[in-house]
Amino acid sequence: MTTYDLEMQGLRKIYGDSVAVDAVTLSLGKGEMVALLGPSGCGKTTTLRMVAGFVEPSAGRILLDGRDITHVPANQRDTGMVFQSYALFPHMTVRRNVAFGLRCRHLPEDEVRRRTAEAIELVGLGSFEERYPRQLSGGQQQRVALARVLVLRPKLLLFDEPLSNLDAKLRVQMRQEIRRLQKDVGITALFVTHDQDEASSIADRIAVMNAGRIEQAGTPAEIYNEPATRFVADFIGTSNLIDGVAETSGDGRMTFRADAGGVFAARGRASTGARGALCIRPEKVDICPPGVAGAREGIVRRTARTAGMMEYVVVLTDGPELTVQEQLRHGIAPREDGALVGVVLREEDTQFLVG
Amino acid sequence: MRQKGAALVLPNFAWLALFMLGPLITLFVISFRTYEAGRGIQDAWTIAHYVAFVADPYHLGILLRTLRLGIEVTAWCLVLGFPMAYGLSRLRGTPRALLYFVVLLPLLTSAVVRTFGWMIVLSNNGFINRTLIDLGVIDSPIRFMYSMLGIVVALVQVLLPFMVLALDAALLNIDPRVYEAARNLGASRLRVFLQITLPLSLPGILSGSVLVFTLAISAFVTPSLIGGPRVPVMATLIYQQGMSLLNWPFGGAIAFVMLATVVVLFLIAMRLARQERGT
Ligand SMILES: Nc1ncnc2c1ncn2[C@@H]1O[C@H](COP(=O)(O)OP(=O)(O)O)[C@@H](O)[C@H]1O
Ligand SMILES: [Mg+2]
Repeated sequence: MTTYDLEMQGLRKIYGDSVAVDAVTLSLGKGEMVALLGPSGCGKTTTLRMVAGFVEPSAGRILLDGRDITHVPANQRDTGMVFQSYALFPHMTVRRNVAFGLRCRHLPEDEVRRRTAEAIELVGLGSFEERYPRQLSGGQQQRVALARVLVLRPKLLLFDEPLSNLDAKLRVQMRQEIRRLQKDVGITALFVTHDQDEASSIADRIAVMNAGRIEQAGTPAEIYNEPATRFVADFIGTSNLIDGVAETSGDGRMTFRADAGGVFAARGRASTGARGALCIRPEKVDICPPGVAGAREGIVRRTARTAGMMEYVVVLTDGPELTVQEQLRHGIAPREDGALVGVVLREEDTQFLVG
Repeated sequence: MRQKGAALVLPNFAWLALFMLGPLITLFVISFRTYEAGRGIQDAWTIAHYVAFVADPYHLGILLRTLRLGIEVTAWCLVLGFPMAYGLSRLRGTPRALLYFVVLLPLLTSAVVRTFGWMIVLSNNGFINRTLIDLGVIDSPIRFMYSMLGIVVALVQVLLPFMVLALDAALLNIDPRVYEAARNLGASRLRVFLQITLPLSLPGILSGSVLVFTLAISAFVTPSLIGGPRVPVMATLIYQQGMSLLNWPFGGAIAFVMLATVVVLFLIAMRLARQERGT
């Protein structure tokens, strides 16, 4: 037995002469929920549909619980998929929708009835059993879609942006509920989304996808604090990305010369002369009065107030521009446009990214 | 908004009232007039024509044959049209436009030309029989001409587009994800067809069937040329009474018996459709 439940090995999908999915390799541990996160069109749905068996991979293998399912028909894969459009059977009641999969398995009628009722109860739709999908709200339809797959206790749950048709408040509520249900039943899950908040709050690990490839996979904190590529740094949260070249390097520390001017100490490895970018999160930069020891100086160019926070664009005397965030506390007046300020960039918060 | 809608249907409605409802009402009135051979339509009222039709096994036989013709043509159109419509509904872009055109092709020739074409193909010495005899499949020719079989074959060809287009519209309405959901839940292809595709395309099956059935039982050119006098149907019977014998009252009565039959069948179909929708 492997320790992984789902393994994708070098999955590719080519449509005509365009590559939709390019060598995706990703493993999901037992009971783990992994979010596949990326911008629209990056190949998330295609990846998911290859796992479900609706799209034939051009290359690569899919293993579920150690068994190669790459060429197994979709109806024999033991995966449970929740669609963006819910895809409920419009001519069947909630009860018949949920019972559908059990009937396909030719289970005895009393077991079908018992498990159907349990699953409907589990998602809190006990009093809606005899309703048709069109008589339910979006959130309720989503629960039916969930009950319909959970009732089968599949090996793997697949979600394709299941919350994107719901309003903002319901979306947050449903993602907590999906998270809770998934942990309760302990089924491994792959969750596709383009929403980083959703990915961070629902998943144990996030795989960030771009142009058909997985750029980085890790816990939400890892992805945020140590982005592996420029794309990840830019896509997750906001980052200052300063273009330049590596100067000296060693021991995981290096110095960096920005194209706009100035030399910075940073984490990272690169050979001398390698082009790349310095990545600094706006909230990791401290702003202070000018002249403080170890601080660089700059001039505030734009200010913007967001909830409980000020955001400044500071043009450093060295040259580069930095976006900086500062919490508003009692006694601290917001910085004026054009003011001279000091900024502190700590080496451990400054990362060099090749590319 | 509502008044605008009414204004839009008004010209159409006036047209219908003038040229369809008008003659229909006139014919309905005539069908209750007496008729004397040589002297024509008289002023006295009677229901004798209706009684004569219902009481005569020969006429009832023609009604039954016509209904059987409608059922056979509809059934064949369903069986042949479903796979075609399914394929059509799955295509997009140029391939779909091309297939759509191919489906419509039979409607682009006139009924007379098309029927003469069929007569050439179906006759005892025609293409089909000659080929089958030459291949040794059959010894003596199959009787297509002057038989129900020939009428059914020719009508299925021309009415198939109506069925395919009605089914295509219904199938297009089904979210393809629904099929995938069923597969994902473990359904075999047969189960997907029986429990998902078929029930969800029922509105199309019903509307297509009503359309094809009505057109089949009212078809005139094809039954009169291919069936001839040996295989009379309601339409040819009405023509014979009205045009050849100039007995308009009896012809009118036959027409209304047929209209009533169609209306009853139509109401039954509507009821079935409503039941299936579960309301
Ligand atoms: N059936 C298809 N035929 C051709 N191209 C496709 C097909 N499905 C997806 N693609 C292309 O593959 C790429 C990835 O699509 P998709 O997996 O749906 O992205 P995502 O779900 O991340 O938005 C897109 O560029 C899309 O246009
Ligand atoms: Mg998608």
